[in-house]
Amino acid sequence: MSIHPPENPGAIPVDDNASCGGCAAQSSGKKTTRLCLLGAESAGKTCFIAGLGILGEPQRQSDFHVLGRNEDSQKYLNELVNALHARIWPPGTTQTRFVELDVRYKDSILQLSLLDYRGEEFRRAFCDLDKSRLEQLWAHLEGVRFLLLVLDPDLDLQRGGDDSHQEDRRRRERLNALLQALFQVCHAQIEAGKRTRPPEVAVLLCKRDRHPELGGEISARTFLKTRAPQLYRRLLDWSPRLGVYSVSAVGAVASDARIPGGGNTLPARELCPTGYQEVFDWILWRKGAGARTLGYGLAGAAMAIMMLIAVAWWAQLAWNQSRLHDNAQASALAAVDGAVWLPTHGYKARLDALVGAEFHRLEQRLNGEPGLLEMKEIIAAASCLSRCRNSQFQLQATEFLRQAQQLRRGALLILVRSLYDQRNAGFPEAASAFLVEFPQGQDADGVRDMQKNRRVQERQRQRAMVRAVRPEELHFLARKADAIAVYVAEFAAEDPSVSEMRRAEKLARRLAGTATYMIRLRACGIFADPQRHGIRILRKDNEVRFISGGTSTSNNWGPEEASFLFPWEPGDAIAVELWNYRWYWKNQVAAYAFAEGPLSLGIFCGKHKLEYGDGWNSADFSDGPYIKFEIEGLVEDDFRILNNWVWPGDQW
Amino acid sequence: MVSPKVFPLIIYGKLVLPSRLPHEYRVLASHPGTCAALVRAIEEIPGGFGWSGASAAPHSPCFAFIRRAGHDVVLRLLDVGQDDTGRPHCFRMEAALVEDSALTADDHLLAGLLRPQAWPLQEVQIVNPAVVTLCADGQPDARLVKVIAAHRRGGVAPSILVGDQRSFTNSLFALVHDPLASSV
Repeated sequence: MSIHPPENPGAIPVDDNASCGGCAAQSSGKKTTRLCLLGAESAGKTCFIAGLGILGEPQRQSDFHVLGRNEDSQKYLNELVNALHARIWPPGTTQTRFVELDVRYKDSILQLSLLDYRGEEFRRAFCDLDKSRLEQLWAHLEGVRFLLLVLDPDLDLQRGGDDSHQEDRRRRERLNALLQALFQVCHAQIEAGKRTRPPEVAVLLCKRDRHPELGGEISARTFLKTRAPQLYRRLLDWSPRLGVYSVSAVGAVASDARIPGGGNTLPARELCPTGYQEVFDWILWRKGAGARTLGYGLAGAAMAIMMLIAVAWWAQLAWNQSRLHDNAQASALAAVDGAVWLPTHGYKARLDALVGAEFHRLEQRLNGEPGLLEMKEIIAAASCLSRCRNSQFQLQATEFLRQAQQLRRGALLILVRSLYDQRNAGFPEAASAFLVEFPQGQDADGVRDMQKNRRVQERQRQRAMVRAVRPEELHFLARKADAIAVYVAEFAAEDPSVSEMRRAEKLARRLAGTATYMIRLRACGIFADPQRHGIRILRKDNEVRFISGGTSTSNNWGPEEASFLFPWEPGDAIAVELWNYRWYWKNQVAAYAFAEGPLSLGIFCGKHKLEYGDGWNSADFSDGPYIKFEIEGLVEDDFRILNNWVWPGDQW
Repeated sequence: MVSPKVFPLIIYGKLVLPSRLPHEYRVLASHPGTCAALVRAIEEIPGGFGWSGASAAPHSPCFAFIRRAGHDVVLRLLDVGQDDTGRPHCFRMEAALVEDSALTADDHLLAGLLRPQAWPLQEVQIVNPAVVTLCADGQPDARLVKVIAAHRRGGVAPSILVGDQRSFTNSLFALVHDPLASSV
């Protein structure tokens, strides 16, 4: 029996580089580089550590020396290495544990602190931002200097078109968790003031042995960009200096015959981890960049007191030289970008070699019928080369840049025209992009004309959509009001009738529901032979009736005698009749009017002429048959506007 | 004498069926009515335990007692061999919830539950409701009984892991008891 005091899972026994303000130095006095592997289950985190262990084996020819810094780490490393030598994969990780490693690589010593953990927990913790899960990882991330986003090209970057709903969800969760973690580290911690700068981020495409197309940084980056362009763009947003590398912990795999039809693999007999050098070159490069930045910053500040201008110039020279000197593996573009090189023979030769190689690659890419996006990258790269003074390729690069821009301009213009001709919804964005990049010249004027035409077409289309809302539809008035609102929101600045349209929209909404209106009779036509007469209003089964107090010459329709509450819902037909109450007269209905349609209520607004009833004619009236009502809250002009813009809405 | 008893069960592990995406470690089954906090606490246990060793052969099961979210839990930790991606030592955990405090209050009975003989021979099938029948009868390891008795605090048994020490790493259980080592 043995007694093991439980380790404190939250304990972080390490410190970070200068970037972590709040961490204490380790007891050894040296600074530990906190490196965090982030990835979901089966991404390859544990195998990455195992491959590092293999590279550090004493009998292997490699630049790596890898040792565990404590007993647990060394035992774990040995276990992983032994498993691969036995041609079995390391078990899926369940236990969360720190792996403390001393890695000596190319005369640099890195004290790495890594965390190995269950990928499932990582996915759940960061996809849902559940901080109670994997607390060690949340804590570890707080001071992390290098973030390696571990992706499995098959699991994470495959387009899961025929996935089930659950598989699709898990794929999304895997990438969501990565982005969330990146967000947490890069953004939240900077906001909280815990860091002075975000960590360095690289994508590790694991299981390179299964993908022969994955090679160095360029092919890995191309692979990521091709397979997951949106993810790549998002990662770049968070980390503009994003590194993309591919690794394999074993170098090659063989198929596993033990699992029939499973398609699983075994580590090859000869283990040959690949891709680690590039990753560690990048780590050393970025680590050095931080230290150099700090060093030059301090030196510059001190010397600025004495010789400000001269020192600044020399500091830049030295900075650029050092970038070239100790970063042979780094991207040539990153090394030469904006460089001013000392005109010494050695540096100039190396500079020309770098620029020449990059220039050649760019030429090949441009000749390979690149897409628009790739052209943009080529232009950015060419622009970088053309800024590199003292290079023999500078003039060529400038000419190349001009050609590349011309090609992109042509290709972009074709795209814009094609989208315009197809009336494609992507036209406005493409046209704006063109004008931002190429604002001058005939082509730009042509694109502006297209924009104007498209705008007119769009207006016409929208007007037709408003016009198309017909009263056959249920809730016609509300829909019409919505359609008007959409049009007004889009074209308010361009349409002179917009104020009437707005009023029409409001009126349509008001009349769209069932309501009771206060209506007043103001006047009606007078009979030639004075009689008592009356007005009858009919709506559905309801009837409202008024009878004059005296003869028609002296009738009085004051508000007290002739006002009534009238319930109405859109579309209710309304009939108004003028009656004669003389008992012996030909017919009682002397004249009438009838209103129907969505705005039949309009009969109560303004003066309306009446039709003669059967057996009646103009001689029977001294003042032609008509009615005149008022509706509280509405004026005659409202119904004119409604007539113009709502129903029938001929103005559209 | 204690007759076999039925215990509510939570099973944690991963399915080993062919799939386009590798299966995930998760709670595969839990007894209806088990509170979410307890399920969550059980999910965290594997974070403190891992199978080790470079051999592909499955390890013998381990047994453990721990108190989580106010509940006494007896665990069987199994190595079910290769997972669906061909990796060895696939982890599976069966957590029996001990609702009868008399069982964990008695050192002999608790030690009795931490023996292979107390558990079914095969791994428990995923059925609804998830339950397991355990039998604390029989002769427990006397040294284990003593260890439990010695480390009880306030009547509460210590968290303890019983199994072959060479087969796992542990950062969760306070005590580790290796029956093979103690019998030597």
